[in-house]
Amino acid sequence: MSATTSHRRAARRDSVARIWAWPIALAGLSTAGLLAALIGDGLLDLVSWLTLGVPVAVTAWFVARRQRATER
Amino acid sequence: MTPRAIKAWSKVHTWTSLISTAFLLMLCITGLPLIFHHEIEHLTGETAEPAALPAGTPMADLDRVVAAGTARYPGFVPHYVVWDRDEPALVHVVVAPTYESPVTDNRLVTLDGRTAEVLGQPEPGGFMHVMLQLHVDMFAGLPGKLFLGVMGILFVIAIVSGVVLYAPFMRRLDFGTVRATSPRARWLDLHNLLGAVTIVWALVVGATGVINTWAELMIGLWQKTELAEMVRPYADKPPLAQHGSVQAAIDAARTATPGKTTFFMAFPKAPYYTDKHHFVVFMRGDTPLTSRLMTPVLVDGETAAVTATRELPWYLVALLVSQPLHFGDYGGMPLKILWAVLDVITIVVLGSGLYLWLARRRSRVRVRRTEAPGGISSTPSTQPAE
Repeated sequence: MSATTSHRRAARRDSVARIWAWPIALAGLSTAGLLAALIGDGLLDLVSWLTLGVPVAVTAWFVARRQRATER
Repeated sequence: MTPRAIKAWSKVHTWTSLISTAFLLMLCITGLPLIFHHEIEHLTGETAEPAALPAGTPMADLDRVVAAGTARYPGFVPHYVVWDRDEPALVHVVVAPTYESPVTDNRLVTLDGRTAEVLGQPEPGGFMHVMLQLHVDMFAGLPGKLFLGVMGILFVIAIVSGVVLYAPFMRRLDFGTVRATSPRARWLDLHNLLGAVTIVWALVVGATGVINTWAELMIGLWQKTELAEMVRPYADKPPLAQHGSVQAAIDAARTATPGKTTFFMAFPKAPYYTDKHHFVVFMRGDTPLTSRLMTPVLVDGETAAVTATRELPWYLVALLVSQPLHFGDYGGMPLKILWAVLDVITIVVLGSGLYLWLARRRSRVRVRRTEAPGGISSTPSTQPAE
């Protein structure tokens, strides 16, 4: 294997990770949130609110960041 | 991914979305108040709060509660009793003119189960009723449900194809980038960001919604197979003229299923859940998960003897477990609020998708016009990087 192909492969791996890291993390949190409240009450309800709330908070943060950027 | 594959997936995404968008928007908008139906019904005074009585006040005799509920609609007969999941004091009685009446003639009376006092009787045609009917079947009965189910399947395909297309579109962008270069770039980036954030929620609510559109068919299947077997010994008996004590029937069902709670009961001759001779009492467990599952107990409508009980088949278990995941009613008010926020985000995803399609079509027409005399074709920044 030549140095360039392995380099290219590493770069592709990087870009795949870069593209999917956030969506996969958010999907994992959402899944945990949807299931937590289903299997338990009390503490698990709290877990559900937090894990399902993170994707919503992340969205709000990114959209707000854009708002600030356009105002500047 | 090859440019050809991108083009094919993009076609799938465009067309599944375009066909279903109008209906999905309707479902998201009507679904929004439905998330809070309990609170809205209290606010509008459609259903009153039960009186504050000392804890442990026993439930009144169910025959008296059913009689008080049915009396609100003179000449009607009781079909079902539903015990409220959130407020244990509440009992809902469903009545109809006859046992053969279409389901649209059903009326609901909500009572305090401890005092048999009527707390509310929502009239059809009210705001929440219209929202619910639009959401469930667009006032078109089973065909309406099945149609919305097909729209739900298209929605699921649109989400999956959207996920596939996410990578080629995001190759040169960091997560959460919203470019301000043009309205199209901005809305595409927002569409991708909001879509990525809601993938799991939208898939779950979409898929469980589709399962719910088959509820009537599943119950029909259960009735023709499992229920038919359970009531076979009564096949030759004439229909029951007058049912016996309702209280005795639920007492018998409770004794037969220790540790379980009454959830729902059908009167002899009522449609869907029973035959012409039995009370069918559906008992649920009391842990968060088992409270969604039910065990039907068949009780002789005259003698109150338990004649059969068996667990529900897998497809009804799937239906019952899928319902909370669609309604969002299983984790208190914070979960309902998150459900509403995710619903609104989905509306923005649908709307921006529609905008992007229109904007792209318009610019294509323009490009075709400018290209005709040998103009230069633009490379819109909204194309995926290859």
